[in-house]
Amino acid sequence: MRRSLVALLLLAIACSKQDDDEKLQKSIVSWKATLQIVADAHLKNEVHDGFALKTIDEAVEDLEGQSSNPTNKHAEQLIGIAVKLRQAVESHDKFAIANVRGELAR
Amino acid sequence: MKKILQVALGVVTGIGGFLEVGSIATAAEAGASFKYALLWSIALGTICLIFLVEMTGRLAAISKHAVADAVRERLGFPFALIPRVAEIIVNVMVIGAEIGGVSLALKFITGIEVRVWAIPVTLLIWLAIWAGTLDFIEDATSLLGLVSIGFVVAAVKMHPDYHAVLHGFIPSAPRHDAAHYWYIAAGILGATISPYMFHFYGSGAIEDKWGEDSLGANRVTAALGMSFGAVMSIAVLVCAALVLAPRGIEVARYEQAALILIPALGRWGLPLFAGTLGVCCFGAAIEVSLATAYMAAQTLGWNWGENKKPDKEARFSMTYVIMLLLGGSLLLTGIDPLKLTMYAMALTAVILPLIVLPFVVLLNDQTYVHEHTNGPIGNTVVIVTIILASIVAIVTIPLEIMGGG
Repeated sequence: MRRSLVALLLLAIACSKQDDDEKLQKSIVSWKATLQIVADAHLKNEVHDGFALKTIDEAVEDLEGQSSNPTNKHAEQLIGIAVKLRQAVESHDKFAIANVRGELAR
Repeated sequence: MKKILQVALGVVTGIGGFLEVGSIATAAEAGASFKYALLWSIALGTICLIFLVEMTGRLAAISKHAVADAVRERLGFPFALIPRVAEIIVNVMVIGAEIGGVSLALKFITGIEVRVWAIPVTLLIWLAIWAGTLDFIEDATSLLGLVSIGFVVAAVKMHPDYHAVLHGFIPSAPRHDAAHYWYIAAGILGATISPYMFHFYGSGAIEDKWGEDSLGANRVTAALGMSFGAVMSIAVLVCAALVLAPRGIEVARYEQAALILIPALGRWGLPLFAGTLGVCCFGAAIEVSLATAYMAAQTLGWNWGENKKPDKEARFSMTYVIMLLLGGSLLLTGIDPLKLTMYAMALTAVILPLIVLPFVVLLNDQTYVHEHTNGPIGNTVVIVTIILASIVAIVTIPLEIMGGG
């Protein structure tokens, strides 16, 4: 009984342990979509600069924290786009924000 | 007329006081990760909460005992000590999470970091408790909390698939991420069946001098207030399911949850989310701090009462001051408020059986509630729900932590 319980627990742990890469992929999708909403909302004046900048910073921080593996191109790419979006928001450049929004949609 | 007003106020309290950082975070995460599949856990938690809140009010009205007081008297101090210590530890985390919620709301509006807000927010909460009366605290936070109806408006405006929503109320096994699914389910149960509510509600009933004639109002308040309150949680989940889930957005940070009202409410979305989060968490932080003070005072036999001046109940007042300081200090460590919330809610589910099982003893003891003992349905609902909550919590929390959170 005890052995089967231990085996069941180990099996469950193995099944629940998400592969780091899979987790990172999900995070990339999640933050990409988040940045799209933020860019859209900022273009329509639905969120203020402060909120947009903080959300972009959170995205960069979370992605950098997860992608310790420097070869992850998708994460690096998204971080690069996020930095561009940050600069565009900081300089109140709606045209640049729309361009970055286009990049995010690709 | 007075009774109708009491019930109306109770219902408003239920609506305005139900949402707090835990219910918003867990519902948003549930909707984002599993669409409507976890709606059943809000329903289950609410049914249990209705029964338990009604029992707490009945115990107070008939026996003039609050829960902690009655547990110590009926089951003895050593038995009372274990659940109370567990509650204090969890409540420090919950207060930290609620202060974090208010600070986050301010961060959304001003862009200034959570850590900067932690101390002023803690001081403001202390001031409200120190200077305010129980009625003022209850009424002000509940009425302001009605801003949470914005979530229902947003959910309706986005035209959810009502058939799929209804289907979510039927418990189902997850199609992916089983450990995470059950972990969120435990978190929702912990956020919904918050033990501090029993201490706050029962002690408030004694402070308001409830008697046998309050039983009807108590029943209606528990059922309607908590049900309407649950609708707010459901609305948060539905909004997250409609806005975040289709885009693959996971709630890794509160900023992502804050987006759920924008598609439906445009420029009002963010201020409304921040306002709801801030007001509800402010009210909840007061309630948890006071509830812990009530609980400690009743367990240790001290004088207690929010309606009396703080110098008349120095130990009672000191308890909520210490709780606020500890909760506020948690945020100064730089801990992620979202993670703190999720852990606090899941741990609440773990300690629930310890806190709620004595209800079955007390509410079946005629020396306390005379002829108003529990019926078989009440006992069954409580026992079954508590067993479910404890299994879910004890099995899934280690899995989630080992699986990398």
